[in-house]
Formats: sequence, C-alpha cells, structure tokens
Amino acid sequence: MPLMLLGVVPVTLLFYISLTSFEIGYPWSKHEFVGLANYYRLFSGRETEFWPALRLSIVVATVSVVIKFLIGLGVAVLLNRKLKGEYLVVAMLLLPMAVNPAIAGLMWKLMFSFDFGIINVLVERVTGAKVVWLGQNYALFSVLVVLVWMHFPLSALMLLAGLRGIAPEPLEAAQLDGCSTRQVFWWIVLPQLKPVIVSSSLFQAILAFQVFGPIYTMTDGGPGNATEILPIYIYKAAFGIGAMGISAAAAIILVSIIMALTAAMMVAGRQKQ
Amino acid sequence: MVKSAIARLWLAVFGFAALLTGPHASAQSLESWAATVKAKHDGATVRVLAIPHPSSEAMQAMTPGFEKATGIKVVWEMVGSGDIVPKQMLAQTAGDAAYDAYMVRGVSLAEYAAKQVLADLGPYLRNAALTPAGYDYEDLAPAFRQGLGEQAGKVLGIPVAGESFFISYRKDLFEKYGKKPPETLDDLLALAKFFQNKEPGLYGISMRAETGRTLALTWDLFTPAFGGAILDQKTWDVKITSPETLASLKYLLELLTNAPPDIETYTWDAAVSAFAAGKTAMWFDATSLQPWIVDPTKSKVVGKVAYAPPPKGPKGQFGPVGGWSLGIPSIAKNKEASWAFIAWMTAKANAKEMVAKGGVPSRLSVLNDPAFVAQDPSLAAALKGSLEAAGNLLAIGRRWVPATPEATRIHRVAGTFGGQALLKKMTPEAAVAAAVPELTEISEKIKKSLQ
Repeated sequence: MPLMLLGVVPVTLLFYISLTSFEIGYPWSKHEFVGLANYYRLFSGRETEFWPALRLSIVVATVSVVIKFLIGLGVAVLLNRKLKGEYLVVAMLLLPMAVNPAIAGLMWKLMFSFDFGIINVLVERVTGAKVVWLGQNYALFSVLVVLVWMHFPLSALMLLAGLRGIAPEPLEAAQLDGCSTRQVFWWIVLPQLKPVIVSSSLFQAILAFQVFGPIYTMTDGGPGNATEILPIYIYKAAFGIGAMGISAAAAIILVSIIMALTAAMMVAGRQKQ
Repeated sequence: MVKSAIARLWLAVFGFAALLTGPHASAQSLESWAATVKAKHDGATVRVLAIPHPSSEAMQAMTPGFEKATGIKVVWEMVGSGDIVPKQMLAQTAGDAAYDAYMVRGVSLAEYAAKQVLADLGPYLRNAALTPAGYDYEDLAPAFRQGLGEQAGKVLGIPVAGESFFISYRKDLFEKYGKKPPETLDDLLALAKFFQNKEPGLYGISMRAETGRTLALTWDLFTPAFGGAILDQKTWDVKITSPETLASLKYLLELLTNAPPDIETYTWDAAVSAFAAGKTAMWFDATSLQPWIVDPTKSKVVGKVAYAPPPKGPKGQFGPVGGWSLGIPSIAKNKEASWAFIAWMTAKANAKEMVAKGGVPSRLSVLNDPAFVAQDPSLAAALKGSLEAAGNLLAIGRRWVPATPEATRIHRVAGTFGGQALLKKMTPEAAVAAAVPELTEISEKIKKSLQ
C-alpha cells in the first residue's frame, strides 16, 4: 500500500493541477479550477505545438524501436556465438548505456557540429561537402541516431538472453531434417524469441516516450520544433511560459501512454510465462 | 572568467587614476554609510541567486570588500541563465524566502511585476539613511534604467549587466575592399551580400537565428525600423500581417541568406563564435558579448574588428536593450541588508572598480570617461550610438521584448512561423497569416488582464 501511494499521490496531484489554470510564479491560492479546459485546448489544437509534439513522439518511438530491434538482433546473434573476450565485448556494448543521457546529448552535439564536428570532417572528406546535422532537415535524424546509440544495447542484451534460453534440440533436429541456417532462424528461432521481442520493444517504446536529457542538451527541441517531442513540450510549457496547468495536462497524457505500454508489456510477459 | 581587453583596459586606466587621486568624496560617503549598515546588520547573511556572467564575477570579486565594510556575509548561488527565472518563479509560488537578492532578467520585468516577485526599490533609493550619499541613480544609463529596472512607476532592479546591440565588423576586410561600415539597413544588406563567399569560407553576417523564440527576438530588432510590430505594444492588437511587419520579415530573411549555411541553428553563442572564428564579415549582437571577440583565447580576429551602432531603417534608428539587474524578492526577510548589498555593488563610487574587475559598464560617468573613449573610439562611439538607438525605442513607448507576461509566448509563436519562412516551408505571407490565430488569443488575454 505505501508503495502504491508513492506512485498514486504525485500523479493524482499532477492530475489536479491539470484541471486548473495554475501558472508558475503566482501563488497557488490564485489558481482557478477549469475542469477539462486544458485537455480541450490540447486536443483541439489551440496549443499549436501539442499535436506536432505528440506525433513526433510517436514517430520517434516507432522508428527508434524498429532500428534498435534490428541492430540489437544482429548484435545478439553475433554474440550468441562463442567469442574470444566475450565479457569485454559485452562491457563495451554497455558503454552507451553508462553515459549520462544529458552528457550523451552534449557529446553528440559536438560530434554533429557543422564546423568542427568529427562527423562532418569525415563526410567532407568523402563527399566534399558538409551537412547541417542539427539544422531543420537533419536534426530529427541526428536525434534518432543518438537515441538508437544509447538504447540498442538493451535490446541486444535482452535478445541475447532470449537466444540463449532456446533449447538446442529443436534446432539440431531441424538441421538434421535438412533446414538451412536461414530457415532455422526464421521458422524456429524467431518464433521462440517473439515474447522477448515484444517485451523489449515495448520497453524501448517506453524509454523513447520518456526520453528528455539527450534531446534537451542536443537541440532543446529545435530548430523551431523539429525535435520537440512530448517531454520537451511539457518542460517548455511549464518552465518556458509558466503554463503549469497545460503542462500538467500534457504530462497526464504522456503518463497515460506510458501506462498503456506498461500494461501491454505485462500482458506480453504473462504470455511468455 | 572572461578576461576581456576592456576589463584590462579599465584596470589600467582606473587603477592608475586611483593611485593619482586617492579616495574621493563619494568613496568616503560609501565608507561612512557602510559603517551605519554594519552597526545595524553586522552578522546578517545575504543569499544571492545569480547567473554566471562577467558582472557576477566582478561582484563576487568585490564581495570581500563589502563583507568587511558592512559585516554582512554574502552567499552566492549560481544557476544557468535559462534556469534562473523558472527557479525564481517556483520560489515565489512556494513562498520560499531562501534568497535575499536576485539577478533579474531585464526583459522579463513585466512578468516579475505581474507575479509580484520583486520589491519596489524606489523607497530604498529615496531613503538617505539606506542609500549612500553620492549613489547617483540618474547616472545609470537611462536606457538601462528604463529598460532593465523600471516597470509601471516602480524600480524593480538596478542594472548591473546592461547590453544594447551593435554591429561588429572586420575592419581589415572593409579596408581591403574599400567598404564603409553600414549606416542604414540597406547598407547592411548590401554589405552582407558583398562579403558572402567573397573569400573562401567567408560569409556576410552572423546573428542569432535559431528558429523559434530566438529568431523572433532577432526579427524584433528590425520591426521598429520598418514601422512594424508583432503586437502593437500600446493597443496589443495583432500587427504581424501589416505591410511594415511583413517587410521587416522579408528583410531579415534576405539578410540571413548571406549568413553561414547552418544559421537556422544559431543561438547567441554560435553567432559570436562564428564571427570570432573569422567566418563572417559582420556580427549584429549584444554589446556585452564584445569581450569574446577581443579575447585571444576565444577569437581569431583580435585587432581586426571595429564597431558601428544599429543601422537606420525607413522609420528611424532603433535598438534593443537587454541584460540583467539586481533586485530583491518581495518575500525576502531582511530587505535592508539586501539593499545594502545592491547599493554597494551598484554605487557610483564602486562603478570603476566593478568594470576594472571585468563587469559591464552601466553608468554614464564610466561610459563617457575620456580615457575609455580614447582607447577605442570606434567601440566607445558604437556603444554610445547603440544606447541612443535603445533610447529611441523606449521613447516611442516600445520595448524589444514586449512588457507583458505573455512576451515569451508572443515570440515563440512568431518565431515558430517565421522559422517556417526561413526554412522556405512557407512564404513570408503565409507564415505571418498562420501566426495570427494564436497571437489573437494572446492579444485577447493581455487585453483582458488590463481591464
């Protein structure tokens, strides 16, 4: 019960704030109860940046989850073989996850710098021209690169654990029956990995919806709103323009999305059992 | 710490002057006033919430002197410039009186006033027992006083890091190609076009142009000169679609085509860095950032730069004023001790010491000093001209950042849609039209709050 209260009380307070006109800087006593007006403002598009931020969060979550899965699966398959120095490889693999997210954003911001970033140095050597990586056209791509870099090791490790949990007998039997390695992988390995794929993808989607630090330090949601995902919008609404009621309403929507994904993950977990 | 050439210059000039003249009358007044403060507040503590800034560092360097003279201990807490206002607002909402003095963002005075975050310093200034003789409030540059401290008849802050805007240009390139510094906006555009790709890796101009609020702040450097406005600051009517405002946007967009290719990502630091790296022939930005371009550790163009005030437009010469002041939270417990700290740091008798320690000059007596003018006439003239341009803007009843708590939202909307035009995703006409619904809603909110 106390554990439940730890989660429920703050979210209940957040929900109450979302029903008010509360603005940062004014005393709490000055707030007015406005019912669902903040939600109406958000969903009706009167807060013009909300829908683009929500859509962008969905795009970022979807694209990054797919890429993280594909890279994670490839790495997991490689690591599933007997490797020399396996522990060292796994430790190296975990490095991106060990970097503080805000620091990762700053690090990549320097690497993507137009003038002196190492990426443009390489690009210029190959193509003869530099790219504005953090400009309007490539900022989202650059952000996705960072998110994938930060989180794909988690997918790789979860999938590796799944691969190592598959009993070898069916695989050997299939090979004796004349199945190729590719057929074994597609028809026997992947179906058995399905529960791990589902749960790791849902976990990655939750991470993608929550992500804030690297984008805040790398682009601050810009240029314009090119990389303004929902958590950045929530932060800017609260601390940029002081609209705590609006910000809380958007935060409740984000919490709802994450809770739905968490519920889906739990269902997937039960199916696995 | 930013060790600017200006600071070293001031140190040399005023250090020598102090040796020659010794303590003067106002310094004596300051000492006798400090003795009365000590009698009353010895042992008190003043907690200051500030941002990292050359002026903050100068004040920190002056703190031991204040502590010794008044017996008041000063505790500094530094936060990022983007975080300080939300932190102050949160403290106000929570009734948290942990701080006794704030560094106050000058362009947010209307928001501070509406939310009653700051105490009126007028009564302290007028009280001879609380303010040192010879303090001379009127000596603070009028544009800084009015733009960064005064709001609706109250004094909410004393400027300590005022900045106006001017043009910095590469005098070596201008001399090489026989060009004169820009006097009009047409000159500025022509020069930017001339220098764009004139030499390998050289662009015309660098400015803050990150799409969003930053772009709108740059846009509003030009709207008064064209007679336009995003919102009319007297009636609060939406003016973004007026021909004058549209002309100012088109001008800005054309100017920015003569800038580095990643201009859409430029915040203030990227803009000054580009100029300091020798990438652009001109740079239009805040005077307070000038130390960067004369600092050999940050700049490749030391000794190659001259300055010019903001160029004239069809409707006149206007410039913004921004920067930071010192204020007292309205919920502070020991306001007299807080005021003693502010009065010491901003007193006329200490103005030269503050500048010598790297702080930004805020007083006319410092800005007009013949020794300073003689050292770099171009800089002195441009500083004077930029302050006059800032005064012109205040004289027509306008501020660079509109004096309303909705100012951030106004610029965010205008800059978001203006950014679409910069990125050629909309025409300028479509961009200003698209901004109207949200600006109209903001306009109605402002009008309602004023009823």
